[in-house]
This record gives sequence, C-alpha cells and structure tokens, in this order.
Amino acid sequence: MNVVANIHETEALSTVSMPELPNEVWMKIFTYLSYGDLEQTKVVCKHWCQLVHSLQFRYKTKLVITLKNVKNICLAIENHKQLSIPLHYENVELDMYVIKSEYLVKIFENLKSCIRQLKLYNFQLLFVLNDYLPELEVLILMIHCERVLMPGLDKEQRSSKEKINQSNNTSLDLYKFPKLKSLDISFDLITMLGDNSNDFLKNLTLMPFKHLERLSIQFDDILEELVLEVIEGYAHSLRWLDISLLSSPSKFKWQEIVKKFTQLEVLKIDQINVEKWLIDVLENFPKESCLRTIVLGGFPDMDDLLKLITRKWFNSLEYLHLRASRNLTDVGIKQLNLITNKLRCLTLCNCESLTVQGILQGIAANKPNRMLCSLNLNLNNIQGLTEDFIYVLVQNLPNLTTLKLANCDRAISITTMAYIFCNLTQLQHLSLGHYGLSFEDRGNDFVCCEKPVINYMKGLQSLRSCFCAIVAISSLNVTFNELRKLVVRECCNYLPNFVHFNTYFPALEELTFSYWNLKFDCFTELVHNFPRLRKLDFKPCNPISGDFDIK
Amino acid sequence: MCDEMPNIKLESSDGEIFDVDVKIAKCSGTIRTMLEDCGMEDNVNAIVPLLNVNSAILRKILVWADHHKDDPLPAEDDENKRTYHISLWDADFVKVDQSTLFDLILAANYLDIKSLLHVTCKTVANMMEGKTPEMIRKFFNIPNDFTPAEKEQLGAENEWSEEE
Repeated sequence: MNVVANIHETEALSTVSMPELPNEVWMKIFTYLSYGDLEQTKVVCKHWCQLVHSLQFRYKTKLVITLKNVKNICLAIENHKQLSIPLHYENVELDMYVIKSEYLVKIFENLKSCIRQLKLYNFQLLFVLNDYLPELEVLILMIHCERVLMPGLDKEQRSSKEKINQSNNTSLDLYKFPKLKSLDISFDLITMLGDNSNDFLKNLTLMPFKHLERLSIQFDDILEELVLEVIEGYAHSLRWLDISLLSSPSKFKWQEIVKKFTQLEVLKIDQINVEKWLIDVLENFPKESCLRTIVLGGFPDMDDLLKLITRKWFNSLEYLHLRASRNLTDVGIKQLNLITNKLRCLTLCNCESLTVQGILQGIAANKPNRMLCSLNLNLNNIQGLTEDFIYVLVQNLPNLTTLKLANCDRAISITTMAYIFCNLTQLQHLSLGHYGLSFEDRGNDFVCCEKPVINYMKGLQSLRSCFCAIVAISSLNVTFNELRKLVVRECCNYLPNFVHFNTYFPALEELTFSYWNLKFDCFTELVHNFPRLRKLDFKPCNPISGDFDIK
Repeated sequence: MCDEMPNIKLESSDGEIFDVDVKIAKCSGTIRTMLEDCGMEDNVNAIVPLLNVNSAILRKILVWADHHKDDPLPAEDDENKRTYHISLWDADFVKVDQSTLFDLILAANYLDIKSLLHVTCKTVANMMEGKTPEMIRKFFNIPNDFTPAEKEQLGAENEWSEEE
C-alpha cells in the first residue's frame, strides 16, 4: 500500500468514524434537543437509546396508561428487562377508564422507585397503588366522570371495578407519601369524593406530609372550614396556592390565615365575586412575602386591586395573569408602570374597557421594556386597534419570547408579520388567533431588512397565524429550524402551494390548518416533504377531511 | 501595558509551550482550580501540563478564550437551555470539520470551559435537529444495531409516551 493511499484512507476514516464522546457529553448535547428530536435520536442506536432513556425519565416524557395499552406496557416491562434497558418514568398518568388493578400493580411495582408525579382520574385507585409510590412528590386528582367512564365495559373490567369499590372501606393512608410536595385537586371535592371528601380533608388536617409546597383546591362553603384548617396547617411551607371558591368566602378567617404566608410565591384565586374581599385579604399578607406570580379571576374592583398589587409586590412580581378583567380601565393598567422592572409575563383576557393607548402606556410607556418576555392579550372589542399597535409593541418590547394576541385581525397583515419576524429576534411562540375574512389585502410591498438580523430569527418554536405569516416568511426567505408546531388559518392571502414550504419549516411536527382545497396526492406529498410530522389536523372543504395521526 | 498582567505557561499534549495571560487561562475551570489549589498563581515560571489537549486544539481554544475574556461568568445551571442563541462570532468559530468540533468539545469538557462546551454541544445538537434517525446515522456514521424485534418494541413504546 503506498503512502498517498494510506493518507486518503485515514482521512476518510477520520471524517466518518463514529464520534467518540463521553456519555455525559452526549447527554449534554441531547438536553438541547426537543422532544421530537429525542424520539428520533432514541432509535439511532442502542447506546443512544439507553442515554436518551436515562435522560428522558428525568424531564421529557410521561407514561400514559390506558385501557388499550396497559397489556402492552406489561409485556414491554418484561422485554425491557431482557434488553437491559429498564423502563424509567417519573411521570405517570392513568386515564379515566377502569384499568384492571393487577396490571397496574405490576407496572407500578416496576416503576416503584422512580415515580414522582401521578395523575389520576379515579381516586379509588390510590387505595390500590398506595404502597408503590414511596417517592411521590406530585399528586394530581382529576374529575371522575361516571358517564365518560362506563361505556361498554366487559365482564373482566366490571369485576375489577367492583374490586376497587370493595377497597373503599379501607382508609387511605396519606402517610405513605412522605415526600409529597404538591397536591392538586382543582375541581369540586364533593363531586369527586362524595361523602368521603370530609374524611379526606380531615386526613389532610393531620398534616401527613412533611413539607407541602403546592396546593390547588376547589371547594364550597360546606368544606371551607376544613380547607381553611388544611391551608393554615401548611401555611408556613406553602409556596404555591391555587384556590377556587364556589360560594362566598368568610372574610375574617382568610385575613388571619394569609398573615402566615411567608413563603408564598404563587397565588391563584378564582370565582369570588365579593366586593373588596380580595383587597382585604391581600392587604393582610405579611410584609416579607414575595409574590412572584398572581393569577386572578374576574373581580369587581380590578383597578384598586392592581393598585394594591403593584405597590405591595413591585419588587417581586414577575408573572401577572388577569382573567376576565372587564372592569379594568386605562387608569388601572397604568399602574403596571411601577412593576415593569420585574414583570416578565403578562396576560390580560377580556379586558374590553381598555384602549390600545392604555395598554401601551401600562407596559412600555416611553422607553423600551426589555424585561417583558411574554405577552398574551385578548384584544376583543378594544378601542383604537390598528397596524400601528403592532409596530409600537414590537419596538417597545424587543425581548419578547412569547407573543399571543387574540382578536387582532385589524392589526395583522403581511407587513406587520414581516415586521414581527425581523424585529422580535428572541421570539419562540407566536400566536395571532381568531381571524375573520374581513381585513383587506395590503399588498406585498415589504422591503427585506438586513440579513444578519434575520439569521437570529431561528428560535421560533410555534406559530399560529393566518396565511399572512406564511406569505411574509416566503418573502423574507427565513428558515425556522426549530419550528415544531404550525397552525394556519385562512385569510385573504391564499397560498399557492403549501406543500413546498418544507424549506421554511424542516422540523415541523404538528400542522393544523383550515379551509384549504387539498387533493389527495397533495396530502401524500405533504407527508413526504415533512418527514417529522407527527400530527396533522385540517378542515378543508373537500375532498378529504379529518384528523390524521401519522405513524 | 501588557506586562502588568502575569503570564503562565501551558503545555499541550504534544509538548508545545504556550505563554498565556493568566486572565485568559482562567476561562478554564480546570486551570483555575490548578492555579488556586497548587498555589501556582505567584510562580511565574510554572508550567501547567494539559495532557488531553494537543497544540492545534489548544491554539484554537486560546483564540476563543481571548475573545471571551471579558464575558461575565455564565449562570450555574440555566434550565431553559434550548432558548440560548449562539453569537455570530461563536457560530463562525465552530464552523470546523466534525473531528475538530468533537476535539473542541472534549477539550472544553476537560478544561471545564462551560460557555465553550455550551456553544459546541448546541452546535452538534443543531446538526441533529430535524433529521430522521437514518440521516443522523449517516451523518455521524453510526451503525444501526437494533434487531427488527427491538425496533418494533421501541415503536410500541412511543405509543404510550407523551411529551410532558
């Protein structure tokens, strides 16, 4: 063999040989990948499969056990033992159908030491699974709806249902979850537990968990006393409280309890329509409390509330979400100016008493607000909405990573879309929903801005908009390498051929669109051009329609 | 002016000595610890041996460290890794062939230079993004070692795993 040939050979080898990096470095690389990319990576080779598995169990996936797949999962547990790739899931969800408990026991036995989060529709199952959850930190109890639950159960399932009901008599031992940090029962307790709800709450008042940090609970005046007792018991450790009252709350007791909330960071309160109630409660929060997140339902005195909140927590508030703030006015929203140095996320729903000028003055009065990175507005019925609103918004909020505007038809055009793409370089999620066909075509007179700026516009992960966005993208010639999710709605701008837009969205995983005359060969071409597509949902006029799950 | 900053000597695996500004060398957590723990800071003539880094890679890394010498230290553990963007200069810096890129990763890992490790790892991740498993195998020349049965097994598993 001569020397030249030898060199060529080693060169060829060095460029194509399997890269050798230590496991921890590959793991680090994988942490930058999305869920969809990890799914691809997992099936590259066995070694990576093991790495991704050990990575995924930490944060990316959850195991959803259904009536359909439960037997397969049991089989898989056996197979995985032989493959020596143990199944690891920290996060498990049981769907609402009754699943034979012996299967569940088998699965839970195998996952025993790793389950940290469990979501259940059937509360009774906790009695069966009690012993297999020593590491449980998060428990989410969902509503159990008999009507959804029962269709066409065969004999086998019926008997398992009876078995579960029998165990009803044994009491639930909450002390078996010593590590529980988070308990979510955010629906009506009575509907869920019936007569057992009192017992359950009484159990909770005994403080079975050492350190409960997070509590979501919905209740009415019958249970309020017990719930108050539970909250009081954990008041010193609670960092997150989400309450929803179905009746008028007692004022005095709440004022006393909140005085103990020294650790509380997140407060969510919904469905209380008592004048001044919340103001009096919030005023009683201890001075040292540092609320970072406040989510409020519709309260009658929004302007005064916002005044209190912005004065009391101007130093800590990062996330503010106001649902149904119909009585919030421009006077109230201007208070936000006080907290623009901390506030990172703002959501305003149904704020129909506001004007565009009021909103702008609240979030970015005179100079750019570089702190706000997530903005979610429903602009329904808002006064003074034009394209200029988008321009000013984009100019004054340069660091937005999430922008969601609903009912903003009047402000959206190819030009404003292109303006967004060119200037909001950090953007990851863009949603401009709810369009009619009303707004007119403003032509395609957009002038392409400088290339380097566009180069950054790569981080967009989800986009929901009308065709204006797509047309703007094609005129800018930007590639969104990270875009996984695309929802397009009809507007005056019809797309010539969407199928070839894979050059702009090579990594697309979920596509939803409506009103489009799609032919069948278009459909197959679409699947071919977007190899990563997992979910396709469209509602065309003809010839085919419906949901397609591609797999 | 430059004389005020003390220099130290780094020795690459192939024996080349690099005279380096201490501030630049301290980009590396490994060197920082060596200097502090061994009390080499005052010893101008000390030579730090870097057994796992060859001269070509060390030269590149010093260029990188020089450009970044005034950067603030990165936050210890940022959860939202995917949102990071690579600066244009860095993107240009990692435009190298695959084996050099992997050598840079190994060196950044060994020398404990967090932001360089981030940039290089993210670059590799970007290369994998949007690719099918077959494309990834071809790109990194990885043999497919799954039997058909195992492949089927993995396929079934995807049906009950969901994105969190």
